[in-house]
Amino acid sequence: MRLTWRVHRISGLRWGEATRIEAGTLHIEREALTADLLQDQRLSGVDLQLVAGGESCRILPVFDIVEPRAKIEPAGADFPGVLTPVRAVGMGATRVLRGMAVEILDPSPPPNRVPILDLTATPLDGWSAAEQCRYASLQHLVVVPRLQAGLDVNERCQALRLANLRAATFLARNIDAEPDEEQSFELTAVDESLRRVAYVYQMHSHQRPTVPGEGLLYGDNCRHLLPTIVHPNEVIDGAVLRAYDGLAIQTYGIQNHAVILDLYRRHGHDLNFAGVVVNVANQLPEERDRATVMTGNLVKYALKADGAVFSKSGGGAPHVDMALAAARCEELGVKTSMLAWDLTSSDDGLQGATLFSSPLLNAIVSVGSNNVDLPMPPVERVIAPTPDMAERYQGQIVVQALRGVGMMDQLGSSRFTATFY
Amino acid sequence: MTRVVLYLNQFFGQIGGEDMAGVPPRFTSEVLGPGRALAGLLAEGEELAGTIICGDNYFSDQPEKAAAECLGHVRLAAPDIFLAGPAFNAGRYGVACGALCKCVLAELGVPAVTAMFEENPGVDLFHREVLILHTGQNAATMRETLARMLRLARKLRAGEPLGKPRDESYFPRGYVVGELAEKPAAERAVDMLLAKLAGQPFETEVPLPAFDPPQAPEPLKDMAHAKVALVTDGGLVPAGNPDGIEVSAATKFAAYSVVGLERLEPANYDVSHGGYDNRYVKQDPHRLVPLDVARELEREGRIGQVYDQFLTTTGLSNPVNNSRRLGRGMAEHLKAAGVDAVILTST
Repeated sequence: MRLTWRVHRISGLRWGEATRIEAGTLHIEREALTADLLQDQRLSGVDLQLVAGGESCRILPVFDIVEPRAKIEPAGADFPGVLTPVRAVGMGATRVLRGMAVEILDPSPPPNRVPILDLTATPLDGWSAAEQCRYASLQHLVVVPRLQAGLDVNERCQALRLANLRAATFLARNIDAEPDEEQSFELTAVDESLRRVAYVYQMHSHQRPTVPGEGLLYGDNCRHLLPTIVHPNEVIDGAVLRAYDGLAIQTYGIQNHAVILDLYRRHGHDLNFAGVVVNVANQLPEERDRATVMTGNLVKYALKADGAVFSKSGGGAPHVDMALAAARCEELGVKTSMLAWDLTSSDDGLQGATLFSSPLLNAIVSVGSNNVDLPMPPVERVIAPTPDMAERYQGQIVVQALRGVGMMDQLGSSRFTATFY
Repeated sequence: MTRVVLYLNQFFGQIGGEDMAGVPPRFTSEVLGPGRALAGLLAEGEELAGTIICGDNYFSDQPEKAAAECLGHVRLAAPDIFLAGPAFNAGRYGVACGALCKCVLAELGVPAVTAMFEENPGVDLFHREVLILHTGQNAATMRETLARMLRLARKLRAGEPLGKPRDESYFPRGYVVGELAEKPAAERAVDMLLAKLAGQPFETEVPLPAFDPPQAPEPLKDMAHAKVALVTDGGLVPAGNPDGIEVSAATKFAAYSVVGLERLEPANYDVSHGGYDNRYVKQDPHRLVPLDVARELEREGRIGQVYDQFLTTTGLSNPVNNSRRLGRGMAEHLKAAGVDAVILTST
């Protein structure tokens, strides 16, 4: 399976007569995009805003962020099972508009859960905004939706997600230009003596169960997903989406999956990328046991891996699902490392509060801690669903690390980490 | 001149062994015991300005008085740097070192450093306030430990930033600090895995907790006369959460009466817990606190009686020490109430 990204570098955005790229600037046909989004009757209107990378601007509450992409071969297979009918992806060619992002706001987020994207904040001294937040230097199209009254929470979330995917796809679909570069992904045969490394990707935690229509894998909501092998190309080419409530994970981060891209980068040099197992964190003990056994067997006997990297989704409880599966791999002789956040509360750094304890699970990378507060100074511009909210968030604010969009990332793109002193 | 002052117990201070553990604090300008090794480590411009020696029992029998007396001696010695121990695995000595460092820091504002073995009770008591360096169990590494203590104290005196606990080998005090690592987390995870596969050294970034397995009590012999309590860490609270049980890492537990209740009516209860899908418990609180079934068993005579209150807290992301404290409080409450058995429900 070979996937080629045709990459266009975008360094500016502006409204235009037609959607096209000129000297690195993406011109966007505003009316056509608006009409495309309003085909979903659940939206009563949309306001579209452009923001330049590095502008003194705060965007909130961010529902999700998507990199503009469109399938070229086979055309029309964008986010299959969710935005388009189920088609094979991970092969052929995909157009990628690099250097920009499309985000949609959530007009009514759950209380105390306001994910904030700030393009200039530098809460950690000594590092630039771009070093601290993967989205800070990108060009942004922000979709501020207005929803029909009376939608239930699932309808509302589905409408927001589809509008986000639709807007991102619209931009990439309507480009007619030569790409700036191409990048290909294929699990080529490499030196057999290199260690085989698998990635076990916990796509979702059913501590908040997905609902019908909340597609995660080719449109399936994976409510009772058994561990499955997928090709890494499928993950980065639209087959996998995050749940509506993607704690410290954005769709952009799946499209540019940091673990998968790093394993690809080292494939044939430091290691032999053996493949990806996707699973979910479950609610019931027997589901968890089943996932543990099957994940271990797939990693060891189907992918024949010597080692595996694990990551998690959701909040605290899914650490357990990840750890059980990793411990099972270790029992089978497969070495493991994990991406996790420490659950140690701030009152005591000596005693950990990770939800598992096994001497075999001794390689844990910290993706940060929610006990870290990120101070952010006032900004000139706030994009929020209401003027009232914009005003409230314009001044000096403090953001919990988990709500600092682009700073803490469960999929490992960020350098953000937590250390106990 | 940078004045370094040292604290030793009666043993390392060469007064004597256990039989001399009751001696009160004294000051000496004589260089003795670990002081000799320390003097050899001092740089030009540094001097060992004196040593305070106190018996282990004298300190542990009257810690506040002993600390005040020691502090008096320390104050007179006018230190720029205060070092205590190292205490290795000597428990009373470790506690005295920790307590005195805490006082010196608070009262004199002088950099104070001690060192001991991880199981020394002084670590548990003082690691939050005092910089305590790791040592082995015995005095074999005396000189090397003193060198590390001195190095860290110099750093503190110069106002230089502390390195990471694992780099400087001290017990973390519990300040969690957000930082940027050299590489993204994904790359670090692959690096760590490759090192593990190659048998090369690597270090976990999230400390691994070690739990003491809890000891199970003797089984009940007579359920039919047992008083049984319902206890949960799933955050069931009366509507309005009158005691303000936190939605995660609760700092308290509460007890709510079930006297005269056959059932827990959904309208009267709420859930204060941010870590699971609460809808099903809100629909029917018995899914978390099974009073309905407990009452049935009571009526059938299979258990003696249901305890008059259910105990509740919220466990989500609760650190081990806090959980232990809550557990101890709950156990004391239940014991005082004559409860024989507990049905503990979690989420």
